Amino acid sequence: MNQKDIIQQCKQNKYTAQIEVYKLYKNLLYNSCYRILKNREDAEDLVQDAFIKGFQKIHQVNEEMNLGGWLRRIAINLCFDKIRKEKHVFSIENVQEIEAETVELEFDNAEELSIDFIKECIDKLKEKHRVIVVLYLIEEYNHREISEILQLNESTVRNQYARGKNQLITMLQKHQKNEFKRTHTTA
Amino acid sequence: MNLKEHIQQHKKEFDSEKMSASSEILFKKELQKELHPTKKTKVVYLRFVSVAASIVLVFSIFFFNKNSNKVSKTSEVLSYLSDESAGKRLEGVYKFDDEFKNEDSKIIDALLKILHDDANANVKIATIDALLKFPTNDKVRTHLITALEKENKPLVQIKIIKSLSFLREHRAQKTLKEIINNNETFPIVKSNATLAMNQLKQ
Repeated sequence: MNQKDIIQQCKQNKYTAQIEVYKLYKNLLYNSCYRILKNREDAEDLVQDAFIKGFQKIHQVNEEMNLGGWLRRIAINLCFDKIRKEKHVFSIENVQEIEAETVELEFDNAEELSIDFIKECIDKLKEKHRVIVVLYLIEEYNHREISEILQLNESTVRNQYARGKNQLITMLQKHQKNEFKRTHTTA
Repeated sequence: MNLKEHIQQHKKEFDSEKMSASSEILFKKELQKELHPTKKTKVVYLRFVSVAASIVLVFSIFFFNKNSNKVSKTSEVLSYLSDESAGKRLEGVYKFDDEFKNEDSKIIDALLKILHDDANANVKIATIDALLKFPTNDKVRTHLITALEKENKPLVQIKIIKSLSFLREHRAQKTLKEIINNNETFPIVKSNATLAMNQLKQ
C-alpha cells in the first residue's frame, strides 16, 4: 500500500491501515521522544498518544505531506507538553539567566568523532540545553520553531542553544585532546 | 565538516532505539478503545438481539398457547357435535355459537353435516342459527338451499326459509316454488315460503 492509499484509509478510520502506519513510524517517533524525555516508559506512552492524536486529526493531512514527519511533530509537541507540565524546565525564571548573548563555538572536524560518543556527550548536557540541542541538531527544527514549541523568545532559544552547543563542543574537544595524547604517548 | 552536518549525515544512527515488544499490543488495545469501540457496539447489538429474541420467544409462547387452546377448543366442540346424545350435540352447537368468533372450517363442516343429517329438529334449528353467524360464506348459503330441498320437518323448513329470506338468497327461489307447489307441504310452511318468495322478488 502506498502512502496516498494509507492516508486515505486512515481518513476512513480503517484499523489495518492505522496499524500499518504505527508499525512504519513507531520507532521514528520513539527515538525522538526518548531523546527528549530520556525515559523509556514515558517515551512509549507518548508515542501511543501521538498516534491516537494523529489518527484523530488525520483529516488535516494531505496526500503529499510527509506522514512520518507530521506524526513526529505531534509526538515532540506532546513531549514538551509533558515537560512543561511536570518539570517547568522552560519557565521564564529558569531561562532568564542566559538572556545575555552567547557566542557560538564550532567544531570543524566533526567527521572524526564517533556518533556514539556524540550521543553520550549530548546526554550529559543539562536538560534545558540538551532538548534544544536535540531539536536543532538532530530533529532539524529551526530557532523560530523551537521558540514556538517551548513558548520562549527566539533570542532566548538562540542563546540557550549556543550555550548547550558550546558545552557539547567543549566535551568533544576535550575528548579529542585526550585521544590525541593517548595515541602519541603510545607511539 | 561541522557538527550539524556530521550528525545529519549519520541521522539513522541516532534512531537506533526500538520500542518494546509489548508496546504494540498495548497500542492495539488503545486504538480499539479510542477509535474503534466495536466491542461496545457489538455488546449493545447483542443485547438488542437478545432482548428482541426474548420478546419473540414470549410472543411465540403466547401465540402457541393461544393456538393450542384454540386447537383444544375445536376438538372439544367437534367431539360434542359428533356425540350420540342430542343434548350433547346441542351443547356443542351453543358452545361454538358462544365461544367462536371466527370461522372454523372443521366445525362448519360438522355443522353442515348436522344440518343435512341430524335426526333432532332442535339441534338442526340451533345449528342454522350458528351458521347464520357467517352470512357471506357461500358454502353455508348453498348448503342451506340444498338442505331445504331435502328437509321434511316443518319447524326446520320454516327456520331455513326465514334464514334464506334474511340472507336475500335469490338462488332459493326455485326450491321455494317447489315447496309452495307441493301438496304435501304444511300450510304454515307454504305461507312462510310464499312470504319469503315475495320478499326475494322485491
